[in-house]
Amino acid sequence: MLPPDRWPDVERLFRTVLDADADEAARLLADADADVAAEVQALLAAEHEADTFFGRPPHLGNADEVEDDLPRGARLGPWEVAEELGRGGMGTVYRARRADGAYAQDVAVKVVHRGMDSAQIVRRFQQERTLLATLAHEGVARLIDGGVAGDGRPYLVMELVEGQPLTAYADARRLPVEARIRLFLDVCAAVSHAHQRLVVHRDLKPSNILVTDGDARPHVKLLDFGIARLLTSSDDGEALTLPELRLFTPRYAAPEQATGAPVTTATDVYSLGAVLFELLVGEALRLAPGQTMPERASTVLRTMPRPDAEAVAHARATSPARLERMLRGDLDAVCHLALRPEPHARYPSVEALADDLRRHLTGLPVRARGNTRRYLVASFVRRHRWPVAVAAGATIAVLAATAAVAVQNRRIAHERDRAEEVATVLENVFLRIDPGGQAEGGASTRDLLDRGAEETAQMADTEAKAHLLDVVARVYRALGDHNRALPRHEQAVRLYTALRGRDAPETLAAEHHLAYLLTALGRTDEAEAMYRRVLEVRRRTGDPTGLVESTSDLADLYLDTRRLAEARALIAEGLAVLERHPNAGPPSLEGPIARAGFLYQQALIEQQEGRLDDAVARFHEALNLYRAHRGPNHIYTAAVETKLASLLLEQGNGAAAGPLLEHARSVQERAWGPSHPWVYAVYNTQATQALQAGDRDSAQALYDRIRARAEAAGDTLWAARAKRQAEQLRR
Amino acid sequence: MADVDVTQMLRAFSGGDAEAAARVLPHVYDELHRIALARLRSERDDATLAPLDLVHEAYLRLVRVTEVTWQDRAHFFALASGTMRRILVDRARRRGAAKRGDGARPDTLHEDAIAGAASHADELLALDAALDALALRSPRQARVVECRYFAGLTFEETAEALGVSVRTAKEDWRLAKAWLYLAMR
Repeated sequence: MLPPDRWPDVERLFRTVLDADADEAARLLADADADVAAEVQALLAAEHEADTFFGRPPHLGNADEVEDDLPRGARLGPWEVAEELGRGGMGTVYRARRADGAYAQDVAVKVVHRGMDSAQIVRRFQQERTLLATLAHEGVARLIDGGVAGDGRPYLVMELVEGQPLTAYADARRLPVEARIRLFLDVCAAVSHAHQRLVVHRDLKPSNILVTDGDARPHVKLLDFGIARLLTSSDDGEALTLPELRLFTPRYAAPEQATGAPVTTATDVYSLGAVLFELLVGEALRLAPGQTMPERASTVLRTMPRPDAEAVAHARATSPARLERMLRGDLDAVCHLALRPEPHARYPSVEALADDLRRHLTGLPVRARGNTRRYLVASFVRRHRWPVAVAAGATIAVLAATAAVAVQNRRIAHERDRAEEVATVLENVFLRIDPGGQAEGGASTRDLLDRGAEETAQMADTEAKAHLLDVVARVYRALGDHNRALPRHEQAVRLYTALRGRDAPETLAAEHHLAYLLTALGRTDEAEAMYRRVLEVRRRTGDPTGLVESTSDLADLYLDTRRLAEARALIAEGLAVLERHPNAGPPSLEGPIARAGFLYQQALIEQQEGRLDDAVARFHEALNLYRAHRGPNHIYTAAVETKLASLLLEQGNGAAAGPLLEHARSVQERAWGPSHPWVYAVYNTQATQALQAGDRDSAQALYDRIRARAEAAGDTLWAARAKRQAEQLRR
Repeated sequence: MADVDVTQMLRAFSGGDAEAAARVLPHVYDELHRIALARLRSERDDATLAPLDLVHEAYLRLVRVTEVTWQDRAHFFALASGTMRRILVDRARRRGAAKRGDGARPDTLHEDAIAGAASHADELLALDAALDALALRSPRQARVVECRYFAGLTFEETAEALGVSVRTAKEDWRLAKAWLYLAMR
């Protein structure tokens, strides 16, 4: 049979022959490449026998061999199974003992479920055993042994811990808040020990933290350390592609675990925050999958039904009112800082989290309360982070960036006022919807944004207003609503020019944003003039971040208008800036990401010049940077995948393009909802792929889908384009 | 099931959230496996089971059926189809091991039973390898086979689950079947 790269030819011929009558089929086969024709004829001849084979349902096996569970007395290497202790999504845990008596204590043996035992996992199991064996801490259940069972499933032998889950233990003994914090500090010490050895737990939760009574004080033991990591890590470049291997517990999982972004020690900081939260206010807090923690433990307690609040307080040997006072302030702030959705905004380490708790215990001010306003703003953002619908990602990213900008600027007095004013507007917008600070969901992102826009319009002409106009305009643009974005961008530029002067950095930034929108509207001449002016001022002042922004966006404009030489010069200029200032670039587009952007543009140029192999290599370079610095499921990663896929299609390599497109589609649709230009772009490329595979029906359906969605969303550019393509196809 | 609401995840998955599948699959696997074992225990003579029944039973057990649409059902079946393939191939692999004498319980099986089971097992293992080879050529066509053969989906359901036209699903199925048959021979 022909190798995979000939498959598109085989497939195309097979489909055309299916449609043809006998004479035409014979002619098609005669005209085709001899190898391809031979394979298609063999396929057609095999159809009847193939039907017989596939007509029978698959055979499931014999009743005799159904036993999957390990019975008492079963052997795993030198270990003899005594009884089942529990099962989870990943494996079953048995109590076992050493058959030859060489080890006196009972142990816990974890056997991975059938179906999780691919060769890859088995290999990683072996690798990781060495790593886990280096963890020697009294707070970590020891790894004793490991191996492969007779049926090929890997198993791990761990120290058997017969304690109670952290929260249950604390409740059963009515531990007061202070004792709970001391217990929690022991947990932190164990996690910190592992972090120093580069082992991340990834699935910290009360049921993985067992407590036993010690002589003087309780002992904490962490279970399953590193197991989640060893089953999901792909940091050695060996990608684990099976999606079901990404395991975590939604209730304690950090947002990056849900989105597939890189998991770091900050992930454990988040989970510890969730555990601390529960330790303080009890199990009353039930979150739906994907929801994040509310930011204030004290508020949760206050709004709890009275009997629940009393039960929680009773288990902490105090009254609800006193407990609420204890939680308010420091402990709220500590939980909050550990539970920040952005990994880099959390405590930098478990040790820092522990340190703040120790400060609290000794009456020192906690570091988490260093900047109250900042946390306030961020908290609105986070509270609405998950429940809101499709477009949330874009909006929140911009709002969060604004909050950060506001904070950076607060050194200078009048700018601090501005930051606070911005914060107040955001506060009003969000608090009005959510007065108790409790209810999740309800208003959509779009409602929030419209409200923010109204609020902004009524402000006096201050810099805060200019700033918010700029933000709101960018969010509207990110949501694809160009009509609402344009007047606000123009107002922001006018206001900044009047207040700060024409060449002030803020004015330049706002003007740059306006130019960006103008390109999207097709008003390229105006946009170019604006970009140029901003670029020249920035060259004069030598602002590396501004230069990266200007060169890359103006290069985009030149790429769109096919002025390749000018684009190339700007890309070179931008890359040179990055050589000197490796972390330059606008917020969230800085450093390696900016570099990836330039490489991407370079690839586009090479593609247009017909140097396809160079372009493929360059796209891969950019894609690797995005995957490493943005994560595999980021919208930019997906956008590069789409672009690379269309290039691969150009080279006739539909097989390589298919999976890239499928992945890109799911990412983009999740990020933007069904109606967004980036989603259309993927569908459009998928249509090209379908056409190349000879599947006109699918292509037609894809074009029709783009048109229907674009029309409904008022995106006339895309609607017209899809309509044209569909009509061409019908002819 | 403590931490995962399959119905909710399924709807998220149908809405394009690929992570939802990742959270659901271990549970689908467990449930399918449990049902398969229960069936085999109750039908000691008959070893051939229609996978569609299995998948359907798992669906009824895991999903609040009144809250999802037929498209969601197709998506669930599509998710389960790859899992069914894995369960069957895992079992086949064990039977192969039993035949070679290095399995867990070779002494409990009669020679005939071993021979019969082993030929089915070899067939399945060959199909599994051929499917991997087909996926290199067209992942979608391999998925069509999983949906049709391992989950017993109709063409309409297959098309819906994979986001292609019914006609594409039908042509994919004809092409894939023939190719797999040749590849296994």
